[in-house]
Formats: sequence, structure tokens, C-alpha cells
Amino acid sequence: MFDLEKSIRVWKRNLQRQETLEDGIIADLEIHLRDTVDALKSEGMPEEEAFREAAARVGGAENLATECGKVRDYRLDLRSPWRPSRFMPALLGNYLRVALRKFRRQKGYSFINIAGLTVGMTCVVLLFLWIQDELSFDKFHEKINDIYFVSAQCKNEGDQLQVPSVPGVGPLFKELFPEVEESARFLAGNQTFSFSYKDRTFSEQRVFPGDPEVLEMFTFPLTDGDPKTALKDPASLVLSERVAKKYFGNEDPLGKVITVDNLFPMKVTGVMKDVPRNSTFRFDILMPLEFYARNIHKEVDLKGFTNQNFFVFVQLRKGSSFIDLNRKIKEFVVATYGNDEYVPVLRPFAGFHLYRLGDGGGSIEQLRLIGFLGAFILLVACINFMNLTTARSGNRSKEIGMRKVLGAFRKDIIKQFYFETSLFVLISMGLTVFLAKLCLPVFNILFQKELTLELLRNPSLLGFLTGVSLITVLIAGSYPALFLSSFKPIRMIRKYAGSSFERSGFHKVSVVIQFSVAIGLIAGAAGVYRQLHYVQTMDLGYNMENLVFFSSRGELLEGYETAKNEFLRIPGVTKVSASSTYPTGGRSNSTSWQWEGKDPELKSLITDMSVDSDFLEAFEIPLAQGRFFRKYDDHSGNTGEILINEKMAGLLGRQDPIGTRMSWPYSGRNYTVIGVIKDYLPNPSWRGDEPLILLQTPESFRFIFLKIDPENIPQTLVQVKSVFERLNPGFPFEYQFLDAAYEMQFDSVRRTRSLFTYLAGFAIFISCLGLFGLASFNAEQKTKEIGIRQVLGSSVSGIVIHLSKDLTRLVLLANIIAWPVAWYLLQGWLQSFLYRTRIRLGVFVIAGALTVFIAVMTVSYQSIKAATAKPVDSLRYE
Amino acid sequence: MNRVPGLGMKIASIESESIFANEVSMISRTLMAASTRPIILAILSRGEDYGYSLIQKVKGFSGGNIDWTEGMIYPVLQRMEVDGLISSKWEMSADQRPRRYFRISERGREDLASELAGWGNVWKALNHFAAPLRVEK
Repeated sequence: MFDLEKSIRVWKRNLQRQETLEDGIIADLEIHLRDTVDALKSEGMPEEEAFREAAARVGGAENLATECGKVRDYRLDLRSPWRPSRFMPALLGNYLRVALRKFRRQKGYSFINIAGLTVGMTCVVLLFLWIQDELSFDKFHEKINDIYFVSAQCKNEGDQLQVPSVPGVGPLFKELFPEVEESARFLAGNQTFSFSYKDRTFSEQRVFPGDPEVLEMFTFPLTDGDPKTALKDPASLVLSERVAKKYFGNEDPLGKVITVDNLFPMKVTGVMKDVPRNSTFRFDILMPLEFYARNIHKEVDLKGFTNQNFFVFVQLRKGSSFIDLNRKIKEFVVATYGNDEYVPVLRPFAGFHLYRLGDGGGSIEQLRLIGFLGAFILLVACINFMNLTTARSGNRSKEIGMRKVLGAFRKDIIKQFYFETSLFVLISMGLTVFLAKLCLPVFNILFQKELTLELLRNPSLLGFLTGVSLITVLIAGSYPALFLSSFKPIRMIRKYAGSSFERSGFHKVSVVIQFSVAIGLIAGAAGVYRQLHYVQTMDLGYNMENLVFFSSRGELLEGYETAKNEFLRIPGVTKVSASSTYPTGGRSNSTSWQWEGKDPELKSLITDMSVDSDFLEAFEIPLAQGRFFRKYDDHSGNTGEILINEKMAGLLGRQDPIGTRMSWPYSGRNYTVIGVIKDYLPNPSWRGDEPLILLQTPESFRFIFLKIDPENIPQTLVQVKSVFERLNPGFPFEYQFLDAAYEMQFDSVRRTRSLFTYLAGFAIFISCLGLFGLASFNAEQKTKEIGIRQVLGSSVSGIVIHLSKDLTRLVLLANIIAWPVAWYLLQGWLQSFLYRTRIRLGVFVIAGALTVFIAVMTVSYQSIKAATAKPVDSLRYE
Repeated sequence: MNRVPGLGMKIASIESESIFANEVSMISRTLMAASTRPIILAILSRGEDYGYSLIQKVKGFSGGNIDWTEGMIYPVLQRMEVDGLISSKWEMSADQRPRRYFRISERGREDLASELAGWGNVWKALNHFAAPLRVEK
């Protein structure tokens, strides 16, 4: 059924949408329309048709609007006359004045608002610097995009293992594949040597044995010497500027001879710039790999395919694809060996620092974690800012109403709010840069970084800050700008419009999000702490307390027996032992051990280790079966006795493994099992259940362990030092406690823990600032209600509970959301550990209880303040 | 003096490319635009009036040949008011509908006089120069 009035209303609304059509003209048009309809109806036209005809005659809204727009003259700026100018300097001053007035009158809120954002942003800036630093690693190498790292894919009991590559592949690839322009190798890990020049002797720990090609492939520029020839002579050395200065002062280092390990005279043939901080390889001295293989570590076969402790790099010719080459390599391996159990794989060097072997050894995981945490903190800080801004802006409905009445468009109100938010954000950003600079030294110490904050020299940080500022302004400013500006002036002036805020649920959601993040971070910190505690206190099956160790070099290596007796003569030393490795250090393993009845399909990696006869006693590892090595074999080595651990015994699969004959193709010798030791776990970050074979080969002893009396440790160490220096002149005495070395490997876990702890602290701090602001806002809104409650006989505690319960309930809800999420993420993190703690409910309960406690304290303060105010004051309010 | 010469007569199109074409019934947009203000002033010179009535009068007199988009008269009226040619006030009409009545101002009268003189001159020139046309209905 056609409704004329309704149709006219719709038609009129269409006109009202046009900016240029003033109310007067619309009224004119409406009356005109009605007259026309009446006239047409009187001619006998049906009402609906008459309306349509009349509307058509009056004309389309847009055409009318255009005509009306032409009524007044255009201004010079070509903006239509009915539009206010875009920029009104007078209003800007007014906005600034109002913003500053708000700032002055609400010091507390302004402080909370700015402090929250500043603290949050400071965290984010520091994390940003961290990420930026990590991403900048190795980028200084000019040929980085042509350099590839050769790792290998190796099958071990069905697992795909990524391992460093063997030294032989470098030269082989260069020979086989035309794409490979050059190859270069480093020996993995820093080697320690004693270097002496004249009367100066230092122990140098950052020595890298490498191929001569290293200097050409990588960008380690020489300030002195020729990179093409510097390392060609096996008796040559390249020093960093810092080290060169240490030895030679202002003398010219080139051609000087340094004695290495008291035995080998080597000539300085090059001085290189100090290796930049953001290099994955950080070394002070380059030594020819050839020299190292010939004199120091004689087992290393540079052309061989056995030792896996090498970093092998190849440089591809421009335009060749490493993916194609990888396919060719695999084809070659399969064609040559008939299987793909061990396949070298090229990986871009650009991703080396982040991904290392693709086995989690790189920093990408940590980087992701930091990225996530940074985003969370940013979220919390922004939400907080938004929350407080919106809460306070509810009070401004009158101002907005008045502005609208006086002719402000919605756009102007939006502009004003964005302006105010921008002002706050700008102040925060200024403070952020200041605070971040202040915190950076502490941050660097905590997380072992050398970051600097130079805003003007760091365009990406500048861009990042600008971006974050804009996003914050957009997020934090949008709600009040868009929401408040949409109200009708009449409503705003007549009555406080804030009630619709509380109903909006916006604050509730934001409180829940903030606290969920905070609880998650606390639970994260607690979980990481538990894991750290777990690995630090787990039963490893051996006792590392009071074990001091040092590497056995020079005379110590040759005359171990003498040294052992000398050390044992020191009163505080109870046991002396030696072995080829120390528990947290590297290990050697292979799949090539053979024994009678070995399943040919068995590809278990078996670790081997050389120890002397006192090893079990020094480490307090129990013997399960048979006997241990004999003392008199320590000097020259036994003829073929070995011990195995229980896991290895299981692998042999015999009732009584004693007497089993085993052979190792590398040494070409046969061995007999004489005993079984209990399994022990050298290092929780290894695959703990590794089968182990102990050999007694003195030439492989690399480390000497002293078990010392816990009484008078310093005195004992002084004596050990004097014996060491007497026996081994020319080598500085450098020792480590085994438990300290063991602890050191958890540094990254410890850093993660600190990261979580600090960020959780900040998140809680920011969230509570926000909660505090909301609570006081809440109490202020309810001043009258509280007064009336007091007058009617409500107790202080009653009022406090009444005021606090809503916010507390939200924090409880946040717990329910945060727990499962935090649990899930923690489980994911723990997967990277072989030995991991179980995350119990307690972790979450503690995190939850802590937040609820802090939240209740925060809210109660305001509530109690409101509840203990005199009712006469509250009621006089307004 | 108050009469508008030629208004309502069938006049030939004066569009430049076809001055003497056969389309004689409708008035070109240009002429319409030029004539709207004088016509309104002319009608108002006889007494105050409102928008709808103005339209009806023009339509009725021209037999539909002067066909204004009706709504468009209001912007024109507004512009004339801004220019001081007419004034307006809202009044309740006899049929209990509020209407805005427009009244010609002194300046409007002067403007109308000069327009009349101008249009008269144009009409004279046209009549003088044009050969007699066979006007088809």
C-alpha cells in the first residue's frame, strides 16, 4: 500500500544528504512537490503515480545540489563555498589550548597515559634494535649473495639430520661443477693458542684456521698485505688491527715472526680490519688451515670426507642457481654411492646467521619470539592508551556538543581528536627515545648486545617509530574521534553521553586483552624459569662439582703421566683425569663402528671418547659390569680394550656384552669390550641416549680434569697454576670449572627468561596503569552513587567490593583466556629441548594469582579512596 | 512596458549552427538560461508569488514550450535574492501550507527595465534582418 508521507520522507532524506541544499530550499522543494502531487491527483492521477511524476518534475537531488552550489561565489582555493576551509589556524590554536588545558587539569591521567605508552614503546624500540641487529649480520660481505654454505643432510635412524659439512666437498665441488667459482673453509669454533712475540705471550682464543681463499671470498679487508697471497704460505698469520697493536704497538707488523704454542714460528703476512660486531664469524687471527691440519690436529684430512667440524663455503658464478646445483649434487651422490644417506646441500650464506644448519642453531627462533613479544607489548601499550583516552573523552561530550552547535562539522571534531592524540603520542615518542637511550647500556649488558640508538643515522628505526606513531594515533585516536563525533549535539549537551561507553563493552574487551597478555608473559617467564631450573638440577649421572679443567697442550700433552703425578702431589687435588673432550664441549661420533652380527641397516651415531683410567672416579660414574681401564696403560694406551655405556650394550643386543669384538674402520683396529658403564648424560642439549664407546688412547687427550677439595679452592688453584707453568712454560694457565662451563650453555635460555621477566613486568605495569586510570574514572563517575550508598548505610568494604568487582572479574576472565594459550605456546617452546620439564598448573595459578592480586590492589586503592570520602562531599558534587 | 515582447511566441532557434532550422517549438537551453531571470522578475513585477505558482504561470502561458525543471527555479530564486533583486518571506497560505513568497525589489525593477530594453532591441534586430520564414507547427 502506497504511503505518500513515507515516500515524501524518503525523498526528503535524499535531499538532506546533499551538503549544498539548505533546509530552506528543501522546505521550498517539499511544498512544491506537495502542490504538484495535489494538482496531479485532482486531474485524476493515482496517488503513487502522481508522486512519481511530481518528483520527476522537481528534479534529481544531485542536479539540484549542483545548482544550489553555484548560488554563492567560489573562493580562491577552489573549494566549494559551503565547505569550511581545510585548515583553520585559529582553530588549531584552540585545539592546542584545549589539549594543554586537559593536560594541566588531568595531570594524573595524562601522566598515566603518556607513561604507559612511553614504557611500552621503549620496550618495542629496544626489541626493534635487537631484531635489526640480528638481521644485519654478515650483510657487510660484498659477495654475500653469491656465497653458499655447504651443510649436509644425513639420515640417522630415520631422522633427517643437518650437519656441518666435511672438508673434502669444497675442493671437490670446485673441480666437479663449473658453477662453483671458489671454495673456502673454516674450522668450526674458536681455537685457543698461545702466541708469543719477544717477551709478550698471550693466549688467543679467537683464532680461526681457514683457507687462503677466505680473504677473497669474504669481506675481511686487509689494511696491510695482499689478500691473494696472505695465507698461501702455511707459516703465515693474518692479525686483526687490535691484536697487531697488542703485540707490536706502533711497529709495522708485516714480516714479524710470532711463535705459536711455543713451537711454530709464523710470519705476519697481513693485518685486517677488526671483524665487525655483526659478523657470525668473529675472530682475531686467521691461520692457514693447512698449517693447522699438518701440525696441530693431525687427524684432520683436508681432502677427506670424515671430519664434520668444518664450515665449507662455495662461491657460485653470477647467474647460477644453487637449487639447480643442489639437484646436481644429489644426482652425483646417488650415482657415485648408490644411496642418499649423506647428501651435501648448499644454503645461502645470507641466511646463515638466522638459520645456521636449519636445525634451530640460528637465531631465527629467538627473533620470532622477540617479534611476538614486541608486538604484544605494543598492543598492550596501545590498548592502554586508547582505553584511557576514550574513558576521559566521555567527559567531553558537552564540549563536543557545543562545538557542533557552533558550527563544527563531524570532520572538525575528528580532526580535533586526532590532533590531541597526535600531541600525546608525539610527547611519548620524544620520551621514548630518551628513555631507550637511557636503558640501552643496561639492555646491552643483559642481553649481550652492542646496540646503539642513533635515530638520525637509522632511517629504518625512524620509519618504524613514525609508523608505530601513526598506527597508535589511528588506533588510539579513532575510537573517540569516530565514536564521540557521531553523537547528536542535543544528546551530548543535555546529558552526559558516557553511559553508552560503559555499555559498549569496549573497555571490558581491552582490559581482558591487556591482562591476557600480561598473564601469558608471566606464565611464560615462570615456564622458562622452570625449564632452566630443571636442566640445571637434573641428574646427569655424573658429578661435575669441584672439577677444574684446562686444555692439555704443549708439554702437558706429551708428558701427561708426569703432569698427573705432579698435580696429584698438590694437597687440594684429589683426582686427576684426562679425556678427548669435556662434557659440554664438542664430541666425535660416527656410524661406522662394526661388530659381529651388526644389523647392516643400523645407522646409529655412536660417540667415541678417549679417557684415562681415573675418568670414572673423577666424574663419579658408576660401573655396571666388568672392569675399567688399567692404570699402566694410561701412558701408551691399551692394545684394544674399550668400555661401552648401557645404551651401547643395548645396541649390541647381547646378554653379556663383555668380550664382544668390535672394529672401527678409521683406526683399522679391533677392540674388545671389557666393561659397561652406567649411562650418563654429558649434556642435556645433546641427544641424551647416545651410545658411547670409551677408548684409552693418550694421544687424543685434549683436556685435563682435576677434582679438587672444596676447602681452600683459591689456594689449591694457585698451586695448580705454579705446577702448570713450571711444566708447560709459554702457555698461559687458563682453567674453567666444569659446572660453570655447564651453566654457560644455558645462557640463551637465561636470556629468554630475563626477556620474559622484564617484558612481563612491563606489561603488568602498563596494564595496571590502565586499570588504575579506569578504576579512578569509574569511581569518579559513581561519586554520587557512592555518596548515596554511604548515606543509606553501606559499609566501606561493601562499597569497595561493589566498585572493584567488575574490573576484578575481567582480570579473572583474562586468566581463563590466557592459560590455555600460554600453555600451548610454552609446550611449543619446550619441544626444542630434549630434556624438558612438565609445565604444571601451578605456573598458571601463580601467574594468575599474581595478576589478580596486583589488579585488586590497583583497583582497591581508588575504590577505598572513593568509599572513605565524606558522603557530604560526594553528594555536593556537581 | 511591463509586457515581455515575444515571450510565448514561437521563436526560431538561435543556436549558431542552425539559426533557421525547423525546430521552432522548444526554446534552446541557452535562451532559456538567459530568459529565466527576466521572466521571473516580470511575473513578480505584477505582485508577490511563490515558486510553484511561478512555474505554473510560465507553463500555462507558454503552452509548455518553456519547460523548466521545476526544482531548478529555487536555486535561481535564491541567487536572485542574494543579488538583491527580490526578497522573500514565509507565510501561511490559504490552504494552510507554509509558503515562501517572493517580492520584487526596487533593484529588481530596475533590472527588469534594462532587460526589457535589451530584449526589445534584440527582437527588433532579429525581425529586421530575418527573411520571412515558413513556420511549421
